[in-house]
Amino acid sequence: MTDKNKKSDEVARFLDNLMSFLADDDLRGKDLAEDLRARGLNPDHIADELRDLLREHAPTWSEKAERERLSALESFTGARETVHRPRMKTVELIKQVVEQMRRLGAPVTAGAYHQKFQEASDTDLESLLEDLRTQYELLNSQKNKDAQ
Amino acid sequence: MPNGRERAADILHGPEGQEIYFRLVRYADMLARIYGWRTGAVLPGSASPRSIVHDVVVKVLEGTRSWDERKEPALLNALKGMVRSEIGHLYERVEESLVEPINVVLPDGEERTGDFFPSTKLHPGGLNPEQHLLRQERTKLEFAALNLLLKEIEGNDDLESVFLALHETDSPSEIAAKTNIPIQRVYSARRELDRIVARIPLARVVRTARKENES
Repeated sequence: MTDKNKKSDEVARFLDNLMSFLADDDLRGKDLAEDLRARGLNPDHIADELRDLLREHAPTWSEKAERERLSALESFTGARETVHRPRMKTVELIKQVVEQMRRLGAPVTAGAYHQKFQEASDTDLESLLEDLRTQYELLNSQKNKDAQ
Repeated sequence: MPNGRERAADILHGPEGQEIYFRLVRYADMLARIYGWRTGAVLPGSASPRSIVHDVVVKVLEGTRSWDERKEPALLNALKGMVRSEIGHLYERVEESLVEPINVVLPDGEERTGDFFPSTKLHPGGLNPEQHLLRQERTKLEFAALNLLLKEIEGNDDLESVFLALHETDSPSEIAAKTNIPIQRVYSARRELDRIVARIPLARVVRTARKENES
């Protein structure tokens, strides 16, 4: 082996040893975070990265339960949306039932709801429609009975 | 008994999880820096020390890479081994991509690559011309890195002694025995040396190697 080769082997061995020597450290807590900052690495971002990684690839029982709950909720909402009618259509149907009830000569208290159409949620409007339909059916059957 | 994958998840979720992850990122950063000095290249394929640590931990949690607790009881050490292997492979690929065959027309009129050179035939274990060239380049870079480190530690007795001992061993206790420096001071020197390594960028090593080549 030439002197040059011997020297280059020595340098290579030194760098191997250096990597191995520096592999262990006794840094803890704040010192460790500070060391990362000195290397231009943000410990907060690294901590977030670990949290996300664990949530994604090794969720805890509570995270799994929460994920399943959200997934069930999503599928439920999705299922509802498939039978959900447009809001304007519901308002239109309410108006039609109110008009039918008025024709039957019934006092239509539901008219008061008109002003609140803008504020009411879709679910509230659906429930109001159901209630008015029930009232209309009752009124109509009463009217038929009276006519007989 | 839970498998390595479940155990790793438990430990990483536990109170030491963040510290293990931080130390792993720190380790990957140090390794990538020194590998970079020796090859004159940054990590290929847009990889970073952080992305390598992330991928290794994901592989362990998904079971693609396995941690055998009986062979290596400390999760951090097992993960360090995997990170070292990943970074090593990435740099090997960089070097392979640099060894392009040199096409040569031999007297018989046929074009041959460096693999067909007579010296390679006579010494199958030897380096072909491209590999020889690469090795020379690598040696220049390694000498440049060594000289830069030497300049940084100049005047610090403990660091100079530890530096010399590192030519023979990587063990802190052996270094303490060889240098007669108390082990706690060897650890302090290690922290200081680590900070020095983190301060020397790849570009500085490459520039120094070029200058030394010209002179």
